[in-house]
This record gives sequence, structure tokens and C-alpha cells, in this order.
Amino acid sequence: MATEDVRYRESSQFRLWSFSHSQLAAMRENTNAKAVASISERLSSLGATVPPSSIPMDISAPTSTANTPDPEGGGGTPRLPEFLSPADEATMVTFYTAELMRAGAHAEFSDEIIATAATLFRRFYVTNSIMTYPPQEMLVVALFFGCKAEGAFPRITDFLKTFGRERPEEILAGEFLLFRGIRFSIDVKHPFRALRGAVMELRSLGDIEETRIEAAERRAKDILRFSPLITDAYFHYTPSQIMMAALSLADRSLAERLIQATFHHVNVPEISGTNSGADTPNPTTTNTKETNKSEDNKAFIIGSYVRDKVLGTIESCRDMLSKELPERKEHWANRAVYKAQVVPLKKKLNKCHDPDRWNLVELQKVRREQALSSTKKLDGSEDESAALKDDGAVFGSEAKRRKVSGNKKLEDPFGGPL
Amino acid sequence: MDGKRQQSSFQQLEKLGEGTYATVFKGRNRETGELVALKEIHLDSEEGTPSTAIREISLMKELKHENIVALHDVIHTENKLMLVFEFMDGDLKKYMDTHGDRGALKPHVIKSFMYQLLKGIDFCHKNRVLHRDLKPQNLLINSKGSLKLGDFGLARAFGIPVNTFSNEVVTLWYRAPDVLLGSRTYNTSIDIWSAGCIMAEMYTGRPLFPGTTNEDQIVRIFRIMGTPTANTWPGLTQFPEYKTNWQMYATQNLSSILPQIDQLGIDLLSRMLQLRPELRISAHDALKHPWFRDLLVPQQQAQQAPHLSQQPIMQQPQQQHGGYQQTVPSQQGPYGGY
Repeated sequence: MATEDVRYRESSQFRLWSFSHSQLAAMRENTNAKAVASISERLSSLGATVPPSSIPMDISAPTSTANTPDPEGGGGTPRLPEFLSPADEATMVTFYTAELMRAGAHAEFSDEIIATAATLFRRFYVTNSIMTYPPQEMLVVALFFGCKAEGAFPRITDFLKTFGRERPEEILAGEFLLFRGIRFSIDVKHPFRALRGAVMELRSLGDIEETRIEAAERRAKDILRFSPLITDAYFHYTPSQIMMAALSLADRSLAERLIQATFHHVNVPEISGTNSGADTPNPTTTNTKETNKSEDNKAFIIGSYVRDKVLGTIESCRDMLSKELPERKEHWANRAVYKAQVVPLKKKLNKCHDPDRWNLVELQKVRREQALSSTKKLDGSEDESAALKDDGAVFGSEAKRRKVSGNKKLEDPFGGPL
Repeated sequence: MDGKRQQSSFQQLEKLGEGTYATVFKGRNRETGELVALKEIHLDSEEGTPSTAIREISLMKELKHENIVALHDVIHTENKLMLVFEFMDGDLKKYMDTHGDRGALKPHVIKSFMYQLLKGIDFCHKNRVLHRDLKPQNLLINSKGSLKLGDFGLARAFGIPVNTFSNEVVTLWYRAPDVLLGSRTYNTSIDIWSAGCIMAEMYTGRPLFPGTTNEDQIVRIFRIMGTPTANTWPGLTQFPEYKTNWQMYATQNLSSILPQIDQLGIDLLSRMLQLRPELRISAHDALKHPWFRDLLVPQQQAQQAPHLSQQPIMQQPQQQHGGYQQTVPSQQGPYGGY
């Protein structure tokens, strides 16, 4: 268990995708604010000539609507739509995560594939706004990518059939966006394996009824398939903490029993040197130099400090999971809930989404063309865009777009570095 | 390592190898001058980013170890996916061809390479990763005498494909007997079998079991290791490829086939080349084998095993002049080992 913890700390999930509650909230606010700023600017620049309902996807299209009369009769500054707030976005991410899981279950994907897809989907929307890229499309992309990540070699044709899409591009267009958005960290550590270990340990204690263990395992597994995936648990807690929280929800005294048994023979934590975003105890010293010191402090530590810290962490994770127990699976599919909570947000979203990035297929087409032409220009004459090589090939179209709208700032449209 | 770097950050130098899945170039970081290997993945317009590439990136982002080739960066544009690896001078196959005596290496070099190979394998296994395709072409060597595991394109994928996504056949020579017999439940022990085959090959300069087909491969193994029976291998008859008409061979003495290897080395080798996977030694235990007691490790790794090292292995005078960097040709196998 101890070395597992050390290994987890080296994982990309811990290094790149674990945050404190306030860090995560700040990132989401930032993402929201950036999206609002960039979409406002875009809509304003289009608004003077184009009615909001007929904004063409491809702004460089020759069939420019520049001469279309403005029904609002203006020419003045158009009214901006109401944008989604960070809280709205959170609701939408939750809703679409539930949709993703329903779609995954419908396609009969494995627990791991669904869990990986859900996690990658949520990671993507930490630094990308729901208003920027369409969640309904991205959730299918995440499932497709999740299959690949779990080594399931999905066939695109099967996918199209299952999810009622017609052309491969509809799924593939978002793959690159997702892959970038998750910072190329594909490997997701899940708590399922830890649960199997915990069950084995419980059995080895010898005095617990098998039926009780089985019931707890079933319930805990059910929880793991849903609750941590639709909440932020993966961002804040390690797989074993999530597992213990689920087990505790399934059968609290079994979980406590396991903790007692575990911390009976634990080593001292390195008291300094925990640099964690996740509030993880570090009951380990594989470092031989530390061993002597550890022996001295062992008696002092065991049973108090570490265990209490672990218990506190598990308890807070338990709180988080308890708000989204598996019984809530049907919640988002419920028509009344959908109508009351989701539909108003969808209506808002229809008006406030990014006009240039909402159609992924078109977006990819435009970017590919612009990437090609900008390469040509870079090779040849001294085009002005050569000066924007920071944005380079990846953001060729982005850079152009900002030039059109007269904004010189070159912020990473995918959010800042983590 | 979050993809912010651009393709233009690297100057593309000569091609190191090519396959249908990827082309590997030597490259130079324009800012730092550091040499890198650029593995350019061919994007499939039908299926998107190849699953193999996704698996490889997924694993390489997690596996950070001095005996595993490091993935520095991923560069992804609309039309291209490029992996930036640390640069290594060559692979073990080429090293044996150029440095060996008709392919055979010196015992102290073999010991150092085996130790590093097992350390890399041990790290993979601790992270629940099977490499599945260990062979001399996938072991990268640099001028400091370091050996690193490369090409994780097949690692942990489902099953072991007979051929990669092209016509070139994945070599059978290092494949474990349980896999050849059709086992679907193989585990970490398959990498240990490969390591055993590689150890023997470093001594002789020739592959130990150079089979041409699945069946031929099995027969070649049995000819030396002895044909197993349901008595010597419980469950043997359950394998899909089990045959009742196998020619019965007696188990040969490894030390008579490989007289170059000292007794301790033979002992370790015979623990790695066990037909039954459950009897094969683990990488963790192999590293503690007494054969490694007089190990001479290369300088940069001496700190990891101070009790084991007296002096660096590659202290030949040539090393001061750039080592064998010049003498290892850069033209490699299909992917240049990455």
C-alpha cells in the first residue's frame, strides 16, 4: 500500500490533474471568464453586419452576408446574449457526464472505458468552456477516445452506428481537441482495482460473513461506477481514498475495520515534503535513510496522526460521493428535472456558444486549410502571420481570427498552462 | 510536456527508421541544442489517432525511469502527431553487430546490460505494464553504456498481434512458450523469457531460438529446454496449441549449449528460461541474483547501486572521445527502436 502511494504520486493523474478545491474552482472561473470575453468580442464583431441567428460557421466563406439587412435595424452595438455562469457550466458538465455514462452503458462498454471517458471529458471541460466546444459532440469523442485509451480498438463504423452519426469526421474532428485539452495525459487511475484488493483483505480477516462482504462489494462497485465520475472526486482524491469512501458508504463498519487493520503496521509519513494538491496521507518510507528515524517515531504516529488524517480525507470524499449516489443515475434523465434545470441552460447556450468553434467538422476543415496555407506562406514570402509563430501551426486559424477581430493578445485559447 | 512546444522548436535531421505506423527522425532542439528522436505518427484519416500511439503515449507519460527511454514531449497539430523522445545512439542489435566479436559481447558488458534491462522490466512490472515485445532492436544504447527499453507500441495492448499494422512480422524469437501455446492469461513472466533469450544472444551473437513459424518456434524451444508433458507442466493439455504428436526431446544442459556463460550466469538464465511461466524468476528477484554481485555499472547509474559498483563499465579510452557514438550507424530497424 505504501509503495502504491509513492507510485501514484508519480502518475500524471496526480502531477497534472489533481487540485485543491479552490484551485479547481479558480481554473473553472478563469475558463468561463475567458470564454465569455472571447465570444463577446467575436459576437460584437459579427453583430454589426450579421443577425445572430444566421452567423455562418466559416467566416471566410465567399457567400458573405455582409449585405444582409440587419433586422434589428441597427449598425450600433448589438446586444450580447446572456452567458453561462461558472455554476451553469458545472451543471451542464454534470448533466453531460451523466449522458456520457448512459451512452457508454447503452453501447455496453466496460466499466474502465466508461470511467476513463467520463474522466477525460471532465478534464477537458476544466480548461475549455461548455460555451466553446459542444458537449453533446465531445462526449461521443470522449467515449471513442476512452476505448482507444483502454486498448479496446474501437471501429469507427461501429461507433457511427451506435451513436447515430453519419460521417467519421463527426467523431474524429473533436479527437484532436480532446487529446490536446487533456494535456496528453491519457492514463486514468481508477479505484476498481483497489476495491478488489480491499475485498481480499476483508476476506483474509477471517471473521466476516461472506454474504456481508459480497453485499458491500456490490454496493461499493455500483457507487464507483457512478458517484466519483459525476463529481470532482478524481480531481481531489486518490483511487484508494475514493474506494474507501465508497466502501464506507456501502458498509461503514467494514471500512473502519479495514482502516484499523491497515494502520496497524504502517510506517511514519515524511512529515515535511508532502507537496500534494490532493490531501493524501503519505504513509511510506521506501527511502532507506529514513528508516531509522521512522522506527523511532513509529509508536508515536501509529493509530493517531496518520489514521486520523486518512479518516478525515475519506470522510470528506464520502460526503462528496453521497451527494451523487447511484440512485441519482435516473435523475438527469427525468423529464421534469431535464425541463426545469437543463432546458433553460440549453436555451442560453444556443445563443451564447462560440460561433466559430461550435461545428467541429467545419472548424477542423477551416483549421486544416489555414494550417496548410500558413505553411505555404511561411515557406515563401514574408507574410505577416510568420510573426505569430508562437501560435504556429497549431493555432494558425486562431491567430488569424484574432487578427481579424483586431485583438493583438495571443492568449492560449485552450487555457493557460496547468 | 503538455504539448505547448511547436514542431518548429526542433530541427529535423536524418531519418532513423520507418514503418507504417511511424517514421523516426533524429532531431535537434533549436533552443538547447539537445538531440532528440522525433517519432512522427502517421495519422489515419479513417480511424483518427492510432490506438497504438494513444497506448504508447499513455504508458510513456507514466513510465519515468533511467532504463526506459524518456518521452519529452508530444506535439500534435491538425495533421500530424509527433513524439519527442530522448536521443539514444543505437540499439542493442546494432551494438552487437558493430562491437561484438561476431556479435558476441564481453561478459562484463553483458552483465551491465542485463542488469539495466531487468531494472527497466522490473519498473514496468511494478507499474503493471507488460512490454510484450522485448528484443535487441527495442533496447536502446547510448554512449554512456546505458540501456533503455524503447518502443512501447505493443505494450499492454490486447493480445500479441502476429504482425504489426504492416507486413513485417513481429519476431517470434523472443516469445514465451506459454504465449506460443496460445495462452491468453500470460503475465509479467513473458518479458522475463524474452530477457533470457536476449542474454543468451549477447553471449553468442546469434538468437537462441530463431524460429520461422509458430510451430517451428515451439519445436526449437523444446529441442533445448525439453518437451514438456502433462506431468512436468500441469495444465499443458489445456493450451489451444497443445499437440499430442510433439516430438519428445530431452532437456539439454544449458551450460553445454552456452559454454561461454559462467555457472552463476547459467543459473540465472535457467531461472528465466523456465517453460512454465509460474516458475520463471521475477525481474525483482533476478536483480538480486548472485550473478550480479560483481556488477560494473556505467557511471551515471553508479549512484543507484553504490554497493554494486566499483568502477564504471565503459571506461575504455574511446569513451572520452565521444564513445561509440560514431561507430553505431544510425540507420535502424523499422522504428529505430523507439
